[in-house]
Amino acid sequence: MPVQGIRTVTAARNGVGAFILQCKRLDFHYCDWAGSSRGMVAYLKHHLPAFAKANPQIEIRVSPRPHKHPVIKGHYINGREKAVCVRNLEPEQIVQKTNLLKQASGEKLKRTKKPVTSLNESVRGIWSPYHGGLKSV
Amino acid sequence: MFSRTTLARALALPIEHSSARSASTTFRACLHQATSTTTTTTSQPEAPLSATPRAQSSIPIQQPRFLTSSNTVPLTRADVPVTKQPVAPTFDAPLKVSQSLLDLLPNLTSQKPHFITAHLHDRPYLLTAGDQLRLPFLMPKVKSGDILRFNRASVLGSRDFTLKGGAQYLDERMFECRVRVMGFESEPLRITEKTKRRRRHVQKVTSKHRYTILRVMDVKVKTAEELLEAGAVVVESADSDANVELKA
Amino acid sequence: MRPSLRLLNLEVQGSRALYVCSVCRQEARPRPIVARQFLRHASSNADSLSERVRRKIWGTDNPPGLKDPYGESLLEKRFGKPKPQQQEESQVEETDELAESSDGLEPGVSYEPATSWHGLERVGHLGGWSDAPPSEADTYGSFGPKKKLYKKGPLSLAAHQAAVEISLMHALNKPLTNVCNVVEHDKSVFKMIWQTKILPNSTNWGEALEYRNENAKKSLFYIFEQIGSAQPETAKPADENAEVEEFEDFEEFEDPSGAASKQAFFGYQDARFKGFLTLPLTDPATKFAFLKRFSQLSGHFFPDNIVSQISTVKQAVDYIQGQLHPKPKKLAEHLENNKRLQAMPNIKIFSKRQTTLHRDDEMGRRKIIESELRARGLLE
Repeated sequence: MPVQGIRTVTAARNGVGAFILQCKRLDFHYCDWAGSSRGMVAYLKHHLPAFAKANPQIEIRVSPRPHKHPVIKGHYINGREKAVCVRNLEPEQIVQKTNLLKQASGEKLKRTKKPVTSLNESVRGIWSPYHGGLKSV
Repeated sequence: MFSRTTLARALALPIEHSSARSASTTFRACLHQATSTTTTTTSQPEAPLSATPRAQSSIPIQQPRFLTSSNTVPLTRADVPVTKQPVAPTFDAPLKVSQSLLDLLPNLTSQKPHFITAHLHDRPYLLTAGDQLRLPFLMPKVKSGDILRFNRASVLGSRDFTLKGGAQYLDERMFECRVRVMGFESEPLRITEKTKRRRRHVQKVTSKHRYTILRVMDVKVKTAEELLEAGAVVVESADSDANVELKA
Repeated sequence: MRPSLRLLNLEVQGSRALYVCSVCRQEARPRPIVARQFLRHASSNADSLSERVRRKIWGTDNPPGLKDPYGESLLEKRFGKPKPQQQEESQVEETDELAESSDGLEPGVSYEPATSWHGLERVGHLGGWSDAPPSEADTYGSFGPKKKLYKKGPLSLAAHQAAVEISLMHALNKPLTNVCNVVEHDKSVFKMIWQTKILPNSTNWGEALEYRNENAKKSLFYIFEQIGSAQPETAKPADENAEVEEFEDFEEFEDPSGAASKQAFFGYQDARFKGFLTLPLTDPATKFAFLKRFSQLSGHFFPDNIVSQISTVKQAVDYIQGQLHPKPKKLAEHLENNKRLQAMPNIKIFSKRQTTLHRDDEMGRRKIIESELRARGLLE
């Protein structure tokens, strides 16, 4: 019997058993002075408490970023970041952007043609010409 | 790896041909309506499932086996709002299984893993447990973390055995396939350049579609005992619509 | 026009005008003389059309009035050559005089253009200005104090002092803004002002004061009578010692001396009487005088739109305290005071910008980075 490596029993696949939201942290940056942060400031005042209450699993950090446009930055459990600039946006639009960041997976956007991606081995095995379904000419 | 003939000999069972099957109408009346292809469900199955991971610590409420029009919305979990409760299947007849299917079903159920060809909006997806499925559309009214149950499947199989629905879909009482909504993704911005003749102008059409990401939680074929316990009626082979086949 | 023709023109034209450009000349030549009146601006000749018309109107060769009523501008008249001298001169000398006066020279002096700056008259400073000792005009004394007042107590002290001073000036019937000549009063004077009570709800500034006693009233009147006269710095009471003795019972309010002298208002913490708040500022002169004195004492400037809004002393004090037009609150303060957000464990609010240093600190690698930098001598 040839030497075999230890096979991995399981690969971590979020959602198969327990489900953890991919977005672990949201950073809200704003500027006190600039007019492009007006919507962001209104959002932080009025919409943020409700959002934070509805999503206790997301850490939320609010910090000023003077002389810059307002930005929402999402940190994901795969280690990536996603930042959205929300300059001159209304609070309602920022609600949408926040939801987008919350539900994103954090992966880089890719165009895929196949709908299913699988880590599993093929159920039916690899086709072999010598086994099964032999046809006689 | 068994060849077809060897296994048939070993099991001493006749290999049925697909031509012998007949499609009986034991399905729901609303089968072909596209809106009811998926049923959002968080319900626990009636029979205890060993393989089903329980994400929620929910208290299952015992449901009546066959639902009438009076109780179409079953209360499965107290904390889930009524609008989010799963739509109850309206079966008007018990599941009919042939004797041959009952005899062959243990072979299929005992052989792991399973795959399923689940249909969503009449589009087939070949799934195994743990797969990630990116639907080619944005599913409305779902949030990340929701659990859906696919109830349309044409083929269910393991390495050597296949349960085929024939011309119809498989009866949803014979299997369980649950998926979890992971989140929503979008493709990178696509810019299509459109030109007309003799016009020095390029129109740029942008599109950025959004998709729903699902994760297959489990693919489970119910055993014969579970089917019988759930009230399946054993009929002659001609009346059954589903058949287990050897790998063909 | 061809050069040859131009030359011909010059010869033919003669000197009817001092200078007419060649194009104009060419255009104007074939026309009758009446049509050439628009050329008048380019020529200052006495034989111009207007001159001839004038002569014709007056019937003499020497008509009265201005020589050239349209040709000379006001500025020229004011800053240019001396006019009366010119007018006295006779008509005979006119042609001579015109040529000379355009140079700005006295008649009889020949003008010779200089080729170098040697021997020319020098205009401006003669140099070495930085070595000269500062004159009295050079020293700068600021109008207000060096430091602005922000606390409530000193502000009300300043407002009280200003109100008392303006009231005194009203009572003495002197120019109100003269009080600004004295930037800071003597300690005893200040104490007297401090002890003076302003009657609340009084509308007349001149009669709003209630002095501690007749002695204080007399001395204050005496002091403020002197203000605005030649030596404002001598506005000290003659009977200073008597005053100090008299008000010794209030000494306990003061800080120990030394440090107190450096402080604003000699260490007094707050105004004793708050009656000044209700004084009206409806009279523009009083309002101006009060606001001037108040801004001098407090160091705050009142913009015009605020000045027009203010109608009582209280509003002026409120404006400086930021109650009339409060500064916009920072969002971080607003969020930190939010009870609902405080109760949530998953929200962190920072009032400062978060940098990579903060991130290193949070990750716990800042110490390592610093120690490593120290080990390499990059950080002391």
